[in-house]
Amino acid sequence: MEKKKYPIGEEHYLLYEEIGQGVSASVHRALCLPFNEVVAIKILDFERDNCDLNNVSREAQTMILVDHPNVLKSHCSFVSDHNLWVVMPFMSGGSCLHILKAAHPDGFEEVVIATVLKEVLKGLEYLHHHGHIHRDVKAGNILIDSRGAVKLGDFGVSACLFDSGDRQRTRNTFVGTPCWMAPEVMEQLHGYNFKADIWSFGITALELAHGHAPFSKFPPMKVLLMTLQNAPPGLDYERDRKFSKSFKQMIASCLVKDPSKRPSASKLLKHSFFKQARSSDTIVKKLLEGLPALGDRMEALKRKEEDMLAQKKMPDGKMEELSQNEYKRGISGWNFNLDDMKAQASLIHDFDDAMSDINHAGSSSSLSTLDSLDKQLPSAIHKPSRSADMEENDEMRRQLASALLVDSAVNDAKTRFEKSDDDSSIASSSHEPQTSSSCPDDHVNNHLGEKSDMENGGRSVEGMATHYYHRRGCSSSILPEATLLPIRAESNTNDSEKPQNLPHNVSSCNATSVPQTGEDVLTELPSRVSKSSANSDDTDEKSKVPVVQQRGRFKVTSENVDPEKVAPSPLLQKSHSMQVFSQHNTASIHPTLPLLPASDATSSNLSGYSLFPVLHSVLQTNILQREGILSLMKQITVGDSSADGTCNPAQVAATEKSLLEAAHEREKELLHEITDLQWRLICTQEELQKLKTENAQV
Amino acid sequence: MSFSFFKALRPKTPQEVAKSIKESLMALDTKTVVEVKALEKALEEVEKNFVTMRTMLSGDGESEPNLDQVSQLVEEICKEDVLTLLIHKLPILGWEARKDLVHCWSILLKHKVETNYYCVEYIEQHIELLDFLVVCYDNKDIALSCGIMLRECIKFPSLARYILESASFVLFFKFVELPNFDVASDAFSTFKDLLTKHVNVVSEFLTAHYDEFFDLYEKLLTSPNYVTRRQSLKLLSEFLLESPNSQIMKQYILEVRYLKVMMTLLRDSSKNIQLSAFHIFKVFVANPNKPREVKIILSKNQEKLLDLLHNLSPGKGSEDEQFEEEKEFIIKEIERLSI
Repeated sequence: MEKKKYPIGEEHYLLYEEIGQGVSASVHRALCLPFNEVVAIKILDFERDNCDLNNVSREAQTMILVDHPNVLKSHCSFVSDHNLWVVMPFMSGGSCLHILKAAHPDGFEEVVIATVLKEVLKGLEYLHHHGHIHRDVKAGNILIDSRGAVKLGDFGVSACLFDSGDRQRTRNTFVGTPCWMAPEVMEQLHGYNFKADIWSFGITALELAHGHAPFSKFPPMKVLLMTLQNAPPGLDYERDRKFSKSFKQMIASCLVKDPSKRPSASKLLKHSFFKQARSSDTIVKKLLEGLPALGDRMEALKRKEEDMLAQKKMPDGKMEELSQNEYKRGISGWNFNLDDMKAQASLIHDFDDAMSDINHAGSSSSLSTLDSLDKQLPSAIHKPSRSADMEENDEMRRQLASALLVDSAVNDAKTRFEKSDDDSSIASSSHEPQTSSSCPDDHVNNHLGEKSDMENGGRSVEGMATHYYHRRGCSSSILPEATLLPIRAESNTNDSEKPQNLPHNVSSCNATSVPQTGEDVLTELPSRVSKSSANSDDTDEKSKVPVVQQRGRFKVTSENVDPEKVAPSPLLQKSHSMQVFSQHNTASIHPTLPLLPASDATSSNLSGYSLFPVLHSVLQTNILQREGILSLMKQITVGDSSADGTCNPAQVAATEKSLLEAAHEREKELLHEITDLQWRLICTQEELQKLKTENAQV
Repeated sequence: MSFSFFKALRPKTPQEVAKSIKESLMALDTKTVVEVKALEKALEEVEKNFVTMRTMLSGDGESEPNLDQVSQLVEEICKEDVLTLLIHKLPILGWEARKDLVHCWSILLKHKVETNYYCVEYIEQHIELLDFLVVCYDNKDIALSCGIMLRECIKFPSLARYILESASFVLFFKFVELPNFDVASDAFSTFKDLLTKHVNVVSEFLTAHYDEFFDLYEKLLTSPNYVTRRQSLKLLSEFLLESPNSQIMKQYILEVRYLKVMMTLLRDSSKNIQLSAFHIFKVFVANPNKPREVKIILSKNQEKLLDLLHNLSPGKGSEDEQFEEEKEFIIKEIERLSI
């Protein structure tokens, strides 16, 4: 078998337009002059900051040594000044990620997915047979040529062929890409093997089905936590009804946390799901026809990204200013003696060093006391630049609410903002159809989008640590949106009614209702609190749904049961305790259910209050304080229930009184928990550094 | 199913496997270009035998290999001179057969029969096989496969010593600059392993061949090829700063000729090369026993050197502080020379 010898030297090639760009390389369409053949040439600048010669060499050699129709190979590579030129086949269809973004934002049809994934799996089988772990399987690395042939590309962690969004930011990239990274790769406890690619393959299947990977809206650190702590993602039996059972089973078999329980690529190829795979003609018809040329698509994506960057600059400055203010206020808001203050200051200093970003310290200190928030709100309102515009108020509250979340301390502020920018662009695109036409379908689409957000919120709750403080924080973040969006409130009410109809065992006890008072500001407080409770209830129901599905899945495939039983990882055990906590929390929600009917009255008054931002913020502060007290009361109630088995009304009343007196003590406990969280964060950071170092050595 | 069909026809004992491989490899000789179809058929036979060997050596992915069978196979392969055939037939093997062979090679070499590495001993007695593998870098089709096999051999000190001492070692200075980046970088990987894997062997080699080696190495450091300059400069600091090589380093930093090379590299257009050059250059300057010629060169170029060093910075990185400290020390040392 004689191989075609491509010429060495840049004089033999004519570069055309750029068709891809990454951290340290760009890809061009080009003409090989002696053969008069169109090729793709990746040009990698060895002088770029993060260019590692060893990685580049290994990748170049791997691509020469592979010879399989489903794996992208290189024809030749040579050095020109301080650039490396790698000559490859031209994959004119681009990557599946590009095609999703350009024409199928909600995902491909199942038959297309089966066809593409089967080809990818053959490539993986070949690579694994020859000892390679790809480590970056995802839609962005699945390439399609003009005849519909599918190839798996990109063998270097630091180099890339076509544009993949996450790869653009070096800070966001770990060993592979977070959303697609297998749990054992993150943990680095026992090392990992080919099975890590199978997990990534499962995530890629979800990506092709939904148009994006699960957790793709979250910042990288949060993705790591969610992958380790949550149950594996999968297709929803309700929402994804259009997909077949075998597709759901196939994905479930890939996304098993214990790698030894995942099938090999060879075994997976025999799964019944792939029987429906078609020929490459199907790919041409379903994906490639009507698509603009790859270069044009690249231009469009670039323009879009530039627009987003332009929008980002100003908010970035504001975000920094806000963080600075939070930081200062945090210090001045402390009420501790000198020793405590010094301890806190030294802790924040360590925290700052670990994160290399003062914004985190600002976010962290703003969590110290409600007093800090109390001062914060009026100050924010009085800023001259702040207008009464609804949208801007919404953004402000969202920022403030997110500042309350402990998770915001975990995430880099900039990264988080970038992610939220993506969210807003998605939202704007979904609103666009509604403005063009008034069809009921578009209206339904809008609601589906909102449900999707709620579902993400549910996952977020599930992923949080067991500390109750997080629960309250989450409730706070939901509240502002509820008060500002009457439609959303109505939608939430509808959602909360469904869970009530579901049969579930909740220990019941007599609830203490807050007495109604006369026609004044205080009249609205109970209603708002009950609305907040309703949202919490809804969230809890959302978080329970995956458990139900898990049970269903256990019946379908036994493989899912064993990993849960034998889970060795302390993080998995934490997940278990989280479930226990979730059950308790559900019980505690029940006492407030009688307050739900009052929520209807609130919606008629919402528009009135939105006209008075100052009053609105005062109300919100009071609501938060009230909610805090109620939360503490619920927690005590749960404790009583577990101890005595019953709930005594008189005892509740006594508890409420002593609860108020103990508020200060609880505050100190919360501070202690925050300190623990920060310490755990630092430990996590160290593990990450170790992981990066180890990867560099490998 | 078709696989099990083949399995029924395959020999079952290690002795039979070795014999079949030998016969199918020797059969390749009797085919000529005229008999294209016969050659293809012979190559297919080799490929099947290699798959069988591979399965016997490393299992089939579901079950582990039988270690007793592996030992017998290893003994038989050495006894029947199959290793020699495997290496000499590399250029005409098919693509997949070559991959399977490379996979089996590392297992064969690492396998112990009681306390002996049979294959390593065989190669020691047929040491010209290593020369054959080195020369294969000239054949683009098999260069990368031979490179992997060579690096497996180099893990054993006796084999590494032979390659360093052999006439074919000089060829590496050509191979690392080949225009094909993948072949050149693979050759450099092997070259690097030779100079860093067994520090005592390297120390003896450099002591005995100091002048010839560094003559050739200077050509790499001053190559027009950017990658060659950068990689050779980095490798120099790796093996020169090893403690067993300290005598070599002391000799190296006495020579004005090599100081000039480092000063030239400090002015390279590449930031990466400048930084790597600094790590060698600083040793010349920090040497408390600088010869007079070195002092003169540093004095004559004092102003330029100080300008250069003040503008040198590593950008982002965790070693900022250490680098800045070293730089300040070197700057002071150079300033002191005029006194």
